[in-house]
Amino acid sequence: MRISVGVHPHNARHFTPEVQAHLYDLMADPRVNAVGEIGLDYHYDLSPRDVQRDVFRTQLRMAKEAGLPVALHIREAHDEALEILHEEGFPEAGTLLHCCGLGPEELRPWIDAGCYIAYGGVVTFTNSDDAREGAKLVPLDRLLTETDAPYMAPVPLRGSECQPDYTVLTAEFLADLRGEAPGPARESFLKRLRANAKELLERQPTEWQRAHEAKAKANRLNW
Amino acid sequence: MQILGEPTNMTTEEALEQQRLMESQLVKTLHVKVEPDEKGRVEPVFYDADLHQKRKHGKWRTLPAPQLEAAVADTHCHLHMMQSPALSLARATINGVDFVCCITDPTEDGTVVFDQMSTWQRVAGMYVHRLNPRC
Repeated sequence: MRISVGVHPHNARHFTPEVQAHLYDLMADPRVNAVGEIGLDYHYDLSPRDVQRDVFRTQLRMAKEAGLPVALHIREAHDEALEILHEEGFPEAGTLLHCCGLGPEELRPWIDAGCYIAYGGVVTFTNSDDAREGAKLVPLDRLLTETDAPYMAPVPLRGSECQPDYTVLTAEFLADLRGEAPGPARESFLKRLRANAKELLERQPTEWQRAHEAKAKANRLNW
Repeated sequence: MQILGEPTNMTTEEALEQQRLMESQLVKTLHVKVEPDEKGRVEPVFYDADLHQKRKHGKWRTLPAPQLEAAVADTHCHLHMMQSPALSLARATINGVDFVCCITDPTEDGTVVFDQMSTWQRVAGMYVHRLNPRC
């Protein structure tokens, strides 16, 4: 089990210098594997869009400074998010696009940028044809599974509290979608997805984390 | 037997019961998605590793979990928002999810994930043995 920590776009309006300092301390914890979920959410607009953009940029820079990948929450703002990522530079450690529901055309630039694409219950929903078409295009070495539990339970459990073990339903669905028959083919497919998660999210602590861990622990005692 | 890192003379059942009480208290302090249905009933916590499909009129149907050829990873979940994080981890272990990445926002969640993670893992181990003695 690992931890990804970051200020969600919904809460961007709460991002103060004190929060940033605290976030740096948490990022130094060796269990932290990524800065996330960060990004832009123009569906709910719970924080002003200019604030969301500023906080997104700030956290991208923090992740790059720490040598950590980023896990992105982007809703109805994919073009703008891509623009920001190109301007700031994609973190070398990796970029994960979470809860992907994009169709092939919208997904292409993210694939071209080398992003990891994670699919959860959304890909199993009846009206998610676009997401399914997109999921077929993701290169095998960039494909990931997720749940977003307790939200987004996959079919046939939609409507109940999603659990992490429901990942098996989504994994089974993705294998079927991509024509990986049960048996050796599906085993190879699943092992590749598991290896992708390991490569991106189970690394050793970064040099930055090792350098800042002791001081961060001392700071946390004062919170 | 240890719980919360402290030695105790509690039996496994007593330790699990104390953890359940602690978890229910923790739920009250967090913004947890526990929504009652149309008749005001809250979703039950199933202390097993089966899949449960919600049906009408408060009924539930038990379904078998897929038996996949290899372990999978949940790269994005909010474990601290589960009704029972330790039980959720145990279910994941039993059903072939061998990696869980918990996403947390300090402005909303404080440091609960950092503070509770090792306890959840320890108690999950107890649940695993309880729910699936073959593990």
